[in-house]
Amino acid sequence: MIHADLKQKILSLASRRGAEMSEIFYRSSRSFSISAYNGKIEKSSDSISAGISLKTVREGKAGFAFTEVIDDTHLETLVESAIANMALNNSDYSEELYAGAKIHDESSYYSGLYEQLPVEEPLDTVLEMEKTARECDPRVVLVPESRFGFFVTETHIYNTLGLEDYYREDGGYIFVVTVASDGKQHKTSFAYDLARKPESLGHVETAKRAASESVEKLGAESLKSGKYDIVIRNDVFGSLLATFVPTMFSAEMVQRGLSPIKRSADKPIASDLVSILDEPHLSGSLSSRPFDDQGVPTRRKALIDKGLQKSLLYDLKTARKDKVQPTGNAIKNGYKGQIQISPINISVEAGKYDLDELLAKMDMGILVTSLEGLHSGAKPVSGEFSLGAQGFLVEHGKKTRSVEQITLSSDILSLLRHIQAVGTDRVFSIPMPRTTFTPSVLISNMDIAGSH
Amino acid sequence: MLSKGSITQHTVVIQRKDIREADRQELAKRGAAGIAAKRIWQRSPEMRNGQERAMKRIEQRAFNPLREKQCYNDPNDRFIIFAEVNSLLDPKIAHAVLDAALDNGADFAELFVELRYSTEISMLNGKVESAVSGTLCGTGVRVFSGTTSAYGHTNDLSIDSLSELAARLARSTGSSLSKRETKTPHRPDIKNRHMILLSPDAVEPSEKAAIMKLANEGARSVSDLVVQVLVSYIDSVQTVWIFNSDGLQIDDRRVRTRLTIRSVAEYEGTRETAHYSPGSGLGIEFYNTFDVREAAKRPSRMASKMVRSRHAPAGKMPVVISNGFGGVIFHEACGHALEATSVAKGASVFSGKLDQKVASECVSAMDDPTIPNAWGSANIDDEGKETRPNLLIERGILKSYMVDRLNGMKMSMESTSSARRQDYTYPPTSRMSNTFITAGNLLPEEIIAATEYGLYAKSLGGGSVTPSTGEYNFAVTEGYLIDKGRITESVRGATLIGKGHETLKKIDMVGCDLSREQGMCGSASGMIPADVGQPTIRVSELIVGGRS
Repeated sequence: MIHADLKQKILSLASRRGAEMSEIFYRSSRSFSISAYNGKIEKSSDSISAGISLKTVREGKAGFAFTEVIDDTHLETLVESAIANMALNNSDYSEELYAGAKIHDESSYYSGLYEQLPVEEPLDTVLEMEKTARECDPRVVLVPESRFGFFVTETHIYNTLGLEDYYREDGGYIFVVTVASDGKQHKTSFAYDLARKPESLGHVETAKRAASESVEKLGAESLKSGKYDIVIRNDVFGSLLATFVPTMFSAEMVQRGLSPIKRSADKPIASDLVSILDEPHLSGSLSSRPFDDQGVPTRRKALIDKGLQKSLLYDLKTARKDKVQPTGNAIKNGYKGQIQISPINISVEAGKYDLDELLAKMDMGILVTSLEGLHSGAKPVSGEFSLGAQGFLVEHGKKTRSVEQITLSSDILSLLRHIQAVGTDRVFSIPMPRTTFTPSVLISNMDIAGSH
Repeated sequence: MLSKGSITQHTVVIQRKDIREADRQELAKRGAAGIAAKRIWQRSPEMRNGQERAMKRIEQRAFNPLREKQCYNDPNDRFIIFAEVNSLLDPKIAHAVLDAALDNGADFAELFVELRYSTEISMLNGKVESAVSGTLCGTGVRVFSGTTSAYGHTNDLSIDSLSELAARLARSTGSSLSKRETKTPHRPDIKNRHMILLSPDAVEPSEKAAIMKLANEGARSVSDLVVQVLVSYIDSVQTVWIFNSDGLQIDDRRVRTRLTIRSVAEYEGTRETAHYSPGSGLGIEFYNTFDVREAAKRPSRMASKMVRSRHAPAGKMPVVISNGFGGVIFHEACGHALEATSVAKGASVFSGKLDQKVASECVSAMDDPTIPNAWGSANIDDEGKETRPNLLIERGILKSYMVDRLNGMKMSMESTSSARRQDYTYPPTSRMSNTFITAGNLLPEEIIAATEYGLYAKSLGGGSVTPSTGEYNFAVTEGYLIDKGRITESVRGATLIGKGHETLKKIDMVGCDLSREQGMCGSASGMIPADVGQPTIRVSELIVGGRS
């Protein structure tokens, strides 16, 4: 944490330079990772970083600056830059700070167990994970990465309205990449697991999952272009939602006309089988947190309830504009980032069918197990996308062969409308940067392009 | 934790305040704002002479980053500003830290010290929505024992903290058998290829906002269909100091600035966005090298054309890919798979293919970080080695990979000066810099005329690739159908997919109109600025992810 004197020094300097209100955001983090390759430890890293950012406000206009160097010269620079940036701002929004203060139970975010792990344990984990993946099937020819990592983060916010808030979190992950070959084709796959506590990480199961998936993908071919029914696997549906939901439900994007939806209550925008929520306190997610990066307490809210549009996601300035309460969705990428409105954990309510039942229900179609190019082939403003895909051909309810070199093109709203069935197999994704908790879904009549 | 007083930055600024006052008076006289006025001066003969004189003076003073001197002048050449930045880390401390690593069993150790000032401004419809300035500062410590590596970084630059980190990392890699000693420090003499006239950290944010306003005006002037214009501006001034146990002691300064114009067009309830992001390794003078207002019309034209277009067709067809950002196809289909990061483990479709034919004969490709002031250029790579052009493919034959020190050891190959990293929080690895297919001799019109039916991909978005299988994808943001050798109707974006090693052999025509554009490339060592480029090319068949 930062020293009280320093805090005071920055805030009073900001006030002397003309800020009516100001806020300090401090984050420090330790991150550790270790990787095995070919039966040996290949690389490791262990790092600490810390920095502060300053937000100054005058007449509703805000300025920002950050620094990783805390000495007198740089503190002056910090304050001066924030003030200069504030003077430049002529946005229509009126900026403010949050005054509330809260006490949190940090036990759900922090255990301290990762930092207490004996030195050999991570080594053994990554070596065993690599060995398991290699030995799973003779067609696994390479395990380019077998990694374990954890992080510990401390976040503090102070402002001149009296806000003084703090939380600590830690969490860990394992990650394994496998390459399989049948002599004609190479196929790669990865699997991961993540948990707040080290004992919950299942490295043997994760290694087997990656290995068997890469093997299963062998013998892949493209398909004929046309309309297909598809099942999007749980994790892949998560990555698709993580691409679109933040923009779509951000009050800022909606207010600026940059979202595919407009502000509206109870308008049908998805199949009535679909309920999407932001659940910031899910215990299985590494993104869960007690308050957002403006200090506003986070809370659960429905975005879509049984197909009907519900709440948008708000930070302070957008809530003020729509005359509603902020929803605790102001997020920034540490002290370096700017505030963006984002869900904390995107969750989709579970349906009735397991994956096999979804495939049986589809009968003929494609199981999509990977979507590529989400950063470039998806347009969050219009909701349209055209993405590379891989998966399996499903005939009479069973996977019959591996499929590669196809694309899936649609837009997010018609995809949500065409959902025919929702799975029970909800799974957490890696926070990149948002965590999702999503089941597999069956969708009818999607455009697939292939080799002929 | 953060430390106090470890920075010895010493800035000599001559009449800096007066310059700004002079600028302001000049602006008032000319009745224009900020850079807009500077652009006018730029075009005047006395201005051009002034700039040439300034360049000469900089050269006469033997401007050299290795002497830790930074120098820039104001645009009307009345003042020269010197800012002298001493090393953040005393070389003696650096060597003590390297010794601590070797004493604890490492056989190689390296320090990467970084100080970076950056600015980010975003503007919506002509109004500044937010502006952020920041100081990034820290050190990355890397140690090797054989080919096992360990990395750590910290913002605490005290000798105790760094030595403790170095020793801990060295112990974690397992000790090597022979005790090594840090060699006598030496500084290679490297010429600075990337002159900067107006460093972004010496320019007021309001002047940067003035450039953005020009872009907003340009983008707004194109069509009534354009409903939103978002302009964002970024710059950074990164100074790095690299020390290693071979005695290397070197530094470099990388200045970058970039403007992104994003236009949103709406037509009958449909919305389409397009963007254009020119960037450079120049200072603010970059915005004098082209007409910002004119350039900003490009995304507006694109968005308002695309919003009225139908979806691209689906399926396999010949694709003519335009020059400039079209080079993203080489970046994804081949570039990443030529990085030693994947090649060393045999996890690339191009592993073991040196001196073999990997592409059709009309394809030659380069990675060149030495292009003066290009977006992906630098004097030294992030391991401190002087950069050099790297011929990757010559007439279809694979000539070289992109290799860093660690992967070079694994592959028994020399580094090609290709080690790069986002910042001190990442260990470096082999990455692309400015990567492009070299010019052939066909006119772009000839290529289109020779195509019976297909897609003309005029403007491209980003993409991605899996190096171990070669499967890649990238987005077309502006497309047209080609019918009987002519460009016909425009079609909305689609993704293009393929397998790199197959696609390279299907490039059957290469044009003469080579150009490069700027992108941000994300991979193992973070997000780094990289140029992609090519002349117009034709791929005989690609899968177009359209709609049927």
